[in-house]
Amino acid sequence: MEQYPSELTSPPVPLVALIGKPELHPALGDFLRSQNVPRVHSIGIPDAHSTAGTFGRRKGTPSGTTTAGILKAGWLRKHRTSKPAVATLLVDRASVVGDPAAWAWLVSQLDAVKAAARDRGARVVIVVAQKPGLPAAEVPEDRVAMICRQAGVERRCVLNFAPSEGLPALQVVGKVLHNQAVEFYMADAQRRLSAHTHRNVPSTDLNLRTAFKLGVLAEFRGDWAAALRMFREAYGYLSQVLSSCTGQPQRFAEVRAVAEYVHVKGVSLLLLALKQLPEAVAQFEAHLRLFRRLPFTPAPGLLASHHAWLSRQYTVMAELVMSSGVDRAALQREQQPGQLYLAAALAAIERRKVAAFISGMHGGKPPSLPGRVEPGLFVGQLLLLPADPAAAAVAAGGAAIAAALAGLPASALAAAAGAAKRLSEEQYELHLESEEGRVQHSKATVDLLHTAQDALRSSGRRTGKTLQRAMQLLGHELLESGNAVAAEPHLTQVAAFYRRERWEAPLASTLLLLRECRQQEHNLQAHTQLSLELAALSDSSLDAEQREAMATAALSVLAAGEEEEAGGASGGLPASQPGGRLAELEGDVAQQQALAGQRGQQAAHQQQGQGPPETQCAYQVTSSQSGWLTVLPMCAGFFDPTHTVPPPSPGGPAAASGTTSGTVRFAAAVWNNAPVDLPLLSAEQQLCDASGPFTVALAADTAGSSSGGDGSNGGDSSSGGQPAADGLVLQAGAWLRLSADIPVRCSGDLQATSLLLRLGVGGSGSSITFQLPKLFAAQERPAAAGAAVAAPPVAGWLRGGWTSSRLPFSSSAGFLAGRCSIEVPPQHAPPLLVLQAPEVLLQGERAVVTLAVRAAAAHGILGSVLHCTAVHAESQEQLALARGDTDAAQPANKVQGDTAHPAEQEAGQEQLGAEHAQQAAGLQLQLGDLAAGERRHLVLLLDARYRGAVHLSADLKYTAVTRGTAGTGHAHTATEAGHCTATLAVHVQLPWKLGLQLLGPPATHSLLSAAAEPSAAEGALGSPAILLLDQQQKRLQGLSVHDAPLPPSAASEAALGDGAKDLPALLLRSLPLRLVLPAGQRCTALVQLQSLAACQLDVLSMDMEPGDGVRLLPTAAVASDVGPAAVAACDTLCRSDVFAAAFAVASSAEAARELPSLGSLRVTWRRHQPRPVLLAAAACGASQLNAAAAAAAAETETAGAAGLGGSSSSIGSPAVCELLVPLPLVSFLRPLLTAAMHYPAAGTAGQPSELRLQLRNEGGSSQEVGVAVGDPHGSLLAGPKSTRVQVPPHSSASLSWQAVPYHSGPQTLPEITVAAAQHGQAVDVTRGCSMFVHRQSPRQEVQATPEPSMEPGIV
Amino acid sequence: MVIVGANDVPLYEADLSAKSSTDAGGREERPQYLYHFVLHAALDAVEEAEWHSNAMHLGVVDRFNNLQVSAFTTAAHVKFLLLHDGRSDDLVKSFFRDVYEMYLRVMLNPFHTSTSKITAPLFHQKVRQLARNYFR
Repeated sequence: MEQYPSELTSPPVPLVALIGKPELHPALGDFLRSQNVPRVHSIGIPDAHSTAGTFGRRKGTPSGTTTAGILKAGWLRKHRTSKPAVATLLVDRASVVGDPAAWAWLVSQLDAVKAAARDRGARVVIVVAQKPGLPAAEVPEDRVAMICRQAGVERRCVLNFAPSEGLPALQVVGKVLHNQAVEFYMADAQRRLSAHTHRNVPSTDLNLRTAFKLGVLAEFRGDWAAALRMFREAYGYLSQVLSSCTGQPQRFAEVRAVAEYVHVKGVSLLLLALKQLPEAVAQFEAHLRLFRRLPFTPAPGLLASHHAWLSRQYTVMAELVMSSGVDRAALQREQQPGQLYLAAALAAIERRKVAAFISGMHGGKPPSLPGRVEPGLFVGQLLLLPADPAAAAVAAGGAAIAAALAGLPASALAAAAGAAKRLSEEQYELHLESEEGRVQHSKATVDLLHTAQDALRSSGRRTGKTLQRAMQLLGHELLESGNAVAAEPHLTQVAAFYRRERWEAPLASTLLLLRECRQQEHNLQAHTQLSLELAALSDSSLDAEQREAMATAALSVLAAGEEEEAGGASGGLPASQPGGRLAELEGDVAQQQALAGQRGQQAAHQQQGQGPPETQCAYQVTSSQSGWLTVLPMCAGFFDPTHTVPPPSPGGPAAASGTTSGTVRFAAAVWNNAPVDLPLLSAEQQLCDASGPFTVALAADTAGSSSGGDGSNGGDSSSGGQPAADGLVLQAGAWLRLSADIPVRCSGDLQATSLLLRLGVGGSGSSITFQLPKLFAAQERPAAAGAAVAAPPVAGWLRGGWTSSRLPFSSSAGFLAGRCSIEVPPQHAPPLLVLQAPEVLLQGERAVVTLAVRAAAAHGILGSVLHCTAVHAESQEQLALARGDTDAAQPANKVQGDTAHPAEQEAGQEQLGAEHAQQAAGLQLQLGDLAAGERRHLVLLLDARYRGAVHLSADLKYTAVTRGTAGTGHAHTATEAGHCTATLAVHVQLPWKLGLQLLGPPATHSLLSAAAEPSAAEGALGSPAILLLDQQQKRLQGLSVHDAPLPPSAASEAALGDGAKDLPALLLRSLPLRLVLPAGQRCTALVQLQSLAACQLDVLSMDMEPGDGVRLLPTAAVASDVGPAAVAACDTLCRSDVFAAAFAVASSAEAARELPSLGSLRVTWRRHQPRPVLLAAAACGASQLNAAAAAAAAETETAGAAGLGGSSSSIGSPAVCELLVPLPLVSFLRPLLTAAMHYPAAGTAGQPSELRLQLRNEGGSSQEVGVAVGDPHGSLLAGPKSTRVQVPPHSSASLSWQAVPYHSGPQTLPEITVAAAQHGQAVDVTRGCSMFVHRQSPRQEVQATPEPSMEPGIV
Repeated sequence: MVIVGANDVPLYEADLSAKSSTDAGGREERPQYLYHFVLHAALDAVEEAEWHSNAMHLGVVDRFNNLQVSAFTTAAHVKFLLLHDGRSDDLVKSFFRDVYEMYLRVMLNPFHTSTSKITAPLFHQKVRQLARNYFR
């Protein structure tokens, strides 16, 4: 929209003139422009007597029909900026109500304004302004009537305006001014319509002009519907006007410019004001339909300007649609902004092409005119001014000044003065051509394409393919602008896209551009490849001769030698090329020659530095989108080594097709899409097996008919049977079948990594390496694929009809198309490897893992190395493995039979003892040589540190001696590498669950405990110390409460810290972070050990190692009475059995102290059963045995080991495991206030027993203690029922009761609750206390009987 | 006209305009490569139109200047695209239906796969004959 003047892109706003009182103009003008609704523009005139000419003169009624143009260029701007509709006279109230002199001055002002506005019919409004700061005062009505009469206005046009009233007063003025402006524009429209109606001779130009002006005047009024109607009417006249301008380029350009004016006004109105998107789109399509095609054959300059005009129409429409904010979902695809921008870019490209043609016409210099061309008086017209602007200005004279005041363009001044003249058609064409030379076409087009891409991406529609088109255009334009580096990535991406979708014509067009990029970059290698790929596209814009010439030239660059160089020079492209790049390809012959010269220089450098030249260019084909696969599609794969060909005659022996004795067959077929034959120097296949990479030479498959599927169809270049030594040829439009019998070096995975083709003749050439796994990665299929294959797994773009789509090798012969990896069966009898481990491992133990290796009865193995690993599945951490049979008196390996020499045995023993080493990646053992049938057993110890799954793996690598008849048919001996891998997954379980309880001292209750620093807590700190006491007291209360066992959870493990994974026991008690125990008193640690294992466990011992500051007190063990600090046992626990022990602990000092740990608990245990249930895994060669076969093999090997008496003793003695559990932090605090209950252990029924409560206050302040007696529990109690006792600092107090039980037997003491009143802490001091009450003797009963008549002895 | 396979790979291309012909050397007439860009980009519109219609004939799906792209899709998502200058939609629809019949006969060939290019001269002649019948 920047191309248009502002009056065209925004709706017109009424214009009023503010006359007089300039101090009021800023405030009033700002309000009218920004706050008044609708907006009103204003111009300021300081004095009423200066208004002459401001409103212009009304023209006389036109009578003629001849017009110089259609639309005046400055008419719209003039009415928006300099021709007000209302004359607003601002006068002081004082001059209205003042003396006669002031009134006379007012009258003169009114007359001046009236005279200025009368001629054009402008409305007059008189605003009587009060002085600022004064309240509003009425103007006498007689004065108002006189003003109305004097000015000839209605009463409503005289306003009383008080600036002090602010916004309301301004709104009144704004409303009146807008109404008067609307009335003016309506009257003006009616006047124009009437004048036009009274014209005698109709003129289409005048009809169009009048309709356009009426539409603009309706816009001034805000009447959008009327404006739209008039604009449509104006546009309707354009088709008539257009039909009259055939063969007149200037007239056509004028009509086109007027149509653009009217179209932009109408579409802007529809989109921005009325939000009518369908109508706007319909108007746009009608507009383009009318003007897309020129009505005559244009000259180049007019054609270029027309493309620029079309591009501008698309761009403006796209901008209007995007800025309108309407919903674009209903728009059709071609009406989306992205598509419109793309169409604009296409038009700009066409313009650039025409401009290039014009530039070529004039030899690169823009043509010159004998003057200066400026816009004319009418829209779309041009005028030729004299070259000297001073002369033009002088000639213009005073008339120019008048025209300048009217807002006309500069040329109009000269035109008005007669100094300028219309251009002739030739001058006009020259002007257009010179204008094209000043435009940066490529930059404008690139900007448009970038905008189009952004709009397409953000459109939310499917635009993938359209984006590729836009990107191709962008690359083309960047290349045209000389920026080949920026164009290359775009074109490469587009080429890959079209390659994938196989659209040949767009691909060929893109490749032509990309090839030119490479040529500008002097990239000979890529240029040659692109030339060959272009030549391979049969449906491109090149004909067969051109493609053949291009391929020959490319081949000459690829190949080495003087004769190829000459061929490259002679194989240039023909002089003409179809398609859009005819001119660009004209000099391709010279280009090929230059490239050949570069190639010759490179060859010379190679010869100077490296001696004989080798491959000049090395191409890598690493993806299925490579251009080489367009030229050379290929198919490759192994033959199934297990596939057997049916015997040719009944009773004949079946033969394996995929492998002979000791070989595996690989085959590759390459199709040539290029129009010329491509000679090959060699073809090699690179492979990789367990022994490493190696290379084999491929030869033409002369027996292709036996294995190929279409050997008789004529599309087979190998039918000639050319041997490899004589060179291979990739014939155009035919398969070249290559194959090789690969000698088996070792069993296992054999992978074909790359196929190397060397193109050229003589001794040097270029190489193409096909990375097969990447090309066939998506086409890899299992070996047991069905016989019917819908599409052959061919990498690349295969042509040649339906016969070429068949597999180049017969699948019935076992060809696995696309299979680049194959499992080679061993050529020898592989050894047996058996791996055994307990079914359940217990965390913390060193589990016994056994390994057995037995060589086959027919083949011995040499240099065997065993590599064992144990990996924790969760953390992927290697677990430690160690030899468990390193005892010198009990060698692990026994030689079976008498086949081994004693010296070899000794050497093997030394080697075994010296070379086994545990590495970070596992345990590696050198087993040495094993004779045929020899068996060896190894015992390893696995450190089962972590719970969870553990993957055990044993990998045996060896070299086997084979005897075969490969190749020559004579018996020979060869070695073959092999390996066995046995894997086993075992599970490590948690063996123990440990419960820990800490109990306070019996019969003594600490109501309050001191802080860790008594001096700070007592007295001096007051409440902080009390708070701390409260917290500690809460912890202390928890000590005597038995916690319920918690389920094992991650939270409990996390509470134990990072060592939880290493701890083979789950600490059940969720203890607080810091325990508080009373200092100097006897406490109890109760330990409960519960077995979680699925097998029986023996607990050998349990010790408590007190920490620093903690001492163990002698106590009776729950499970044993061995000693105070150790519990010795040899109990066998089944699953869920509990082993319990109690330890008495106390602080070693009376003072309060915080200890890092209470100590640690040491538990010694072992498995109860010497031979746990074992799991077994076995492998024979590269194949793993199933579970049943592995179990049978393990049983056999175990029996064999038992017969040898080898390592069975190691298995028979379970290892002793030790468990060390750290105990939590603890704080020993001195109790501040204690309550101890003293009572006899036994009493007699009916006899009083003394219960004494001893209170002790160790603190520095007096404590008030409340004592309450509850249920007496079968006793008569004498003593205080409820009382309060003051216990002085550092002193004691006591209370006593006499309890008389009246029942015999065990009896609970009466409930006595002691509470510290100050802190609200209470404790039931008799909770759990009881005494035994003896029965009263008969004598005591008689003595106690008050009535002699009662019989004694009766209870 | 272009027949495009399910993977947007062109299976058949023909220039059915009046001035195209087979030259003396037997070389097939070649559509102008610019129209290939238009037809290829129109596949975006075809994919959108397939989701908005149950009919096989999708009508005009795209426009390029004064040219239009009409589309017809089969149940196997094989698309027939015709670039024309505003022919009657009924004619285009009938043309597509007849071409579809011939396409089905080609697909009945046991030696033809759904991804193979249609190179049969008879098919090409019949398509040209249909174009002559309907559009001239």
